[in-house]
Parts: sequence; C-alpha cells; structure tokens
Amino acid sequence: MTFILFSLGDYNDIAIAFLLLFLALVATHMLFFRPLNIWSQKFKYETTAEATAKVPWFISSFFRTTKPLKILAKHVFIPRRPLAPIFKKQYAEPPYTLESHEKDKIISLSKLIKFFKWIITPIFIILILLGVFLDLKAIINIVNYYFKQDMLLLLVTSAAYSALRIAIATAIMLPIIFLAILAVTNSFTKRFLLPIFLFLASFPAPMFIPYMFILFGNNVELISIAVIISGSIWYIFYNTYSSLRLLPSDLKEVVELSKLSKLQKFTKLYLPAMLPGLVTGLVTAIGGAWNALIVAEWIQIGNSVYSVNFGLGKILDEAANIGDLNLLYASLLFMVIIVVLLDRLFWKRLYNYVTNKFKYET
Amino acid sequence: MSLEGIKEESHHPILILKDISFIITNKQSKFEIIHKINMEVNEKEFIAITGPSGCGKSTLLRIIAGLIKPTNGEILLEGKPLNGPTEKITMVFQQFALLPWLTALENVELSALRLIPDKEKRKEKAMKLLEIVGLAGFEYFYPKELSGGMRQRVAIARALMPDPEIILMDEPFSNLDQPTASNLRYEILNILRSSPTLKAIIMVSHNIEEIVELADRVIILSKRPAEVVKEIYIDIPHPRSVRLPKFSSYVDMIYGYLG
Repeated sequence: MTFILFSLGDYNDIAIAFLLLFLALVATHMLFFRPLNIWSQKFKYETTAEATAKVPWFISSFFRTTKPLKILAKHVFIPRRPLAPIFKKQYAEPPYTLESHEKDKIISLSKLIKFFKWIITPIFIILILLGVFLDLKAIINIVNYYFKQDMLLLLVTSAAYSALRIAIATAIMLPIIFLAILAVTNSFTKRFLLPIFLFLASFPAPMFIPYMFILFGNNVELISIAVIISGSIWYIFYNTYSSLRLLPSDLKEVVELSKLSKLQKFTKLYLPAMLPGLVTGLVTAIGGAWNALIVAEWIQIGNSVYSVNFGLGKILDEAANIGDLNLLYASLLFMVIIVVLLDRLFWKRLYNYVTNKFKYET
Repeated sequence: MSLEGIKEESHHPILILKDISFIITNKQSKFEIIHKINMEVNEKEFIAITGPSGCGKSTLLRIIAGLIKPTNGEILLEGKPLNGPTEKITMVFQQFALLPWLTALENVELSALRLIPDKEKRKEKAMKLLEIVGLAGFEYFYPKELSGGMRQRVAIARALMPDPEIILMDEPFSNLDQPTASNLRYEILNILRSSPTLKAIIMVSHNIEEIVELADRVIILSKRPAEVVKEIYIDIPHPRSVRLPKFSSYVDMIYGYLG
C-alpha cells in the first residue's frame, strides 16, 4: 500500500500510513511481544540473580500456567544448545569401536558427502529452479547472453559497484554495536532506545525513501547507501543485542570488580561476547542488502526515475521494467552465484570459527 | 600467622557493615531483601555467612564487593567508606566466572590489567600465582579445556592477582564434586593464608560441614528479609577433623539456628 502511495509521490498519505503502522505495531508489541519477551527470559542461562529483578507482566502467568505452552517451551525453546547447522545431523556415539578399514570407508564417504554438500547441491538447486521456471533453451540463451554482448563485463562491473555500496553501508552501520552494549549495561538507554528501534525497524525500508530525498537532495548514490542501511542495520543491532543478553551476569561482575577501563571492558568482554551475534547479524544484514539493492539502486517516484550508474539492482530493475527476460535471468543468476559463493567460502567458515571459540561453557 | 582463635586477641575490625538494608522497588511492590545488618570483620578472620536459600546471602556479598549499592547503611573498609568496587576486595564465584575466550593466564591477568600496566610484570606475577594454585603448565589452556576444580583454581589466582585485603567467596565449592572440593578446601586455606596482603575471607555457603571445617566465625541469617540471627565462633584448632565430637556439636548447633 505504502509503496503505491509513494510511487504516486503523495507525502501526506505516507505520513498517514506511518501512523497506522505505528498503531498496529504498538498493539502487537504490548499484547504479544512484550509478554512473550518477559516469559522468554525464563530460559536465560543464568546462575546468579541479576541485581534488577523483573516482575513478570500479567500475561506471563498465563504462559506459565497453560499446559500446551509449557510443552511447547520444553520442546521448542531449548536454551544452551546452539542451533545445529542445517545439514549436520547429530548422531549418538556408536556402541562399538570401528575397525580401521571401516573408518577409512566412513571417511571417504564423508568426503563424498562433503563434496555433494558444498558443490553439487547448490548447483543442483540452481539448475532445478531454472529448469522449473525456464526451459533448457532459455538457459542456453542466458549462457549465450553472457558471452555474446559483453554482458559479463557489465555484470562484473555492476556487481563490483553494488558490493562497494554494501561495504560502505556495512562500515557505516557497524557502530550500532555500541548501542547494543549500552542497551544491556544501561537500563535507561534500554528503556528508551529499544521502543524507538522497534518502531523504526518495523517499517519497510522503501517507506523512508521520500524522506531521504529531502535529506540528501537528488544524490542517488547517498540515497542508495542510506536505503541499504535502513533495511539492514536492525539485523546487526538485534543479533548483537540478543547475544549480549545471554552474557552471564557474573562475567559482567568480574570486569566491574577488576575495574577495567571502558575500552578494556569492550575488548575483553563485550566484543568477544557479541561476536557470534555480530557474525549472524552481518550474514543476515549483508544477505538482505543484496536484495535491498533492487529498491536502493533504482528508484521511481511518480513518473521520474532516479538511478545509480552501475549496479546489479539497477540492471535487475531495468530488465524487469522493459521486460527483457534474458537480462533479468542472467543478472539474477549472477547475483545468486555471488551470494552463494560468499556464504560458502566466507560466512560459513567465519560463523563456525566464531561460534566455536566464543561460546560459554559450563 | 594463624586464622584461628582470633577473638581473644586484639580487635582490628578492617571491614564494618553499618545498618545495611537493601530494598528492591518495583512499580507494584517493594521487596526488602536485607534488613539492617551490622557486622564487623576482624583482621585475619575467616567468616562464613549462611542462611536459608534465597535469603539474600549472595546479595549481601555483592553489596560488600561494591557491585550493588545498599538502599541504606554504609560499609567502612579500614575506616574509609566504600563506594563501588575496589582492588582491595576481590571475589571468587560459584560458577568460576572465567572468560571462555581467554586462556588461564589471560584470565588471571584480567584482574590486574589496570593495576599493573606493565605487560611483562603482570604476566610474571600471573604465572607465579598459577604456579601457587598448582596450575603450572596450564597457562595457555582455555577454561573449557580445564576441569571444574582447575577452573576454580584459576579463579582463585585471579582473585589473588591484585593483592587484595579481603576475598569474598560465593559458594566456591558447591559446583565441584566431593573429592575435588575437599582437596581444594584446605589447599585454598593455605594459599590464602600465605598471601602477604590478605586480611580476611568472607565465604557464603550452604554446606555446614564446610563452614565448621574452615571458618573462625559463622554468621547465620534469617529468611527474607535477611537479618543476623546468630554469630557463632568456632573454636577448634586446625586441621579440624569431622570425627571430633566438638565438630559435630558445632554442626548441630548451626543447623539448630537455621531451623
């Protein structure tokens, strides 16, 4: 709805849409998320009571006494156990010891499985998806497209520009982690910051675009970076914030007793403690940023179009706009490959390393 | 110097708690956790605090540590009022509270990062303390690679690092298995006694046998709000054997006051 209004360029109606969304948000927050949030605190892994005890709201007693919710809580919310990677199944220890040749077999098999998991599966998924949506002829068309018309050069240049935009946006939004620390250490900040952030985070990024034109004039480069930030920053904030909330309070007490400086507290306690959340947040934020390019790099207001010079999102938008299906598929496939490669080669490794080293153990 | 039989000697209260109260206020209600506790800790004294579960023992310990501000009352350390944490008072936690991403050595160094800015000196001292607590050779192990008893040893070395005058212990042995705990108890008593600066130990515990084994004086608190029910001097020479009739009579006496 808002997007339609915004395409028409009607600022008053956008303001009304903001207001309506705000009311809906406040209602869901008060009646659903707040009680749920307070209730979920029960699952925090903690041995010493924190100085500020929380008195649950009235609905939390409802959660406590309702049996189906208890069962749900028991089986669904299992604290302490990190989320298992999707493809990795946990098997119980074998009751017997393996002979060496059996071990060799298993190792070679696991290598094969790894090979499938890493290389074959993504390719298959892409092929199957393409096969469903297009036909073989279309695929050949796309391959031809890449080589015949210097398309590859254009796509690589565009992707580089887009990646640069995402990198700049990431660098700008990274300091939000300090607010996440403030939100767990300072109850005043928490009380005021969280509702404001909840409010801002709930709006789809395109809603802010008209106001960005007011702020940045017609500088599309700045606007596109701002749009990426407004859509992605919350992933970083909420993930770091939630991993900091799991920080056992006796560790906070230790750094207080040791009288560490603010910088020492940050490097020794808060930064390592938030790293798993920060990496998850970055993965989600940057993954989301690639999608946000479609909105950020090519903006239509009323009948006029504002666009960056190079960008994958821009190509996608233009291809969709003029109905060039080959170009659309070609650039889409290009983007998918970039995102999958980034995930496989970089994020997954970083994530595994960080979750291994920086988890609490009892 | 020995910790026992201090009460007959001259009184040197190094820590005084004056009318300490702690009240949690919420929108709906007020909870009084601690009600007007007065306490004196003398030099070279090992004090145990016990009481029913949830009576506010740990809160009292955190008030002494300066982590929680009392609602009323004041704490004097060597005559000077205490505001917030100080290097002169350190703490040993029930769950060890080691930072999992730091090695044993780095964890020990942590509590003197500010006090000893010189890297080499700090490392040297931390190494020495790890040796004292019996962890020579484990300096570069991470907490998850150490057993529960070893982790608590690291935590004790960390608590000794700033040369404190008072060490607070919040159920330091309750998270360890029986043999480990009983081995560690006397060893720790000796380690702490050998510290040149340490003047007193305050331990919160539920384990009455442990209290009678270690403490010079036990302070028994009531249910919430916590008040001092009784102070008992434990007058048995060290090492104290559980088999002594005196030992079990002290245990029974304390249980009697706990109700």
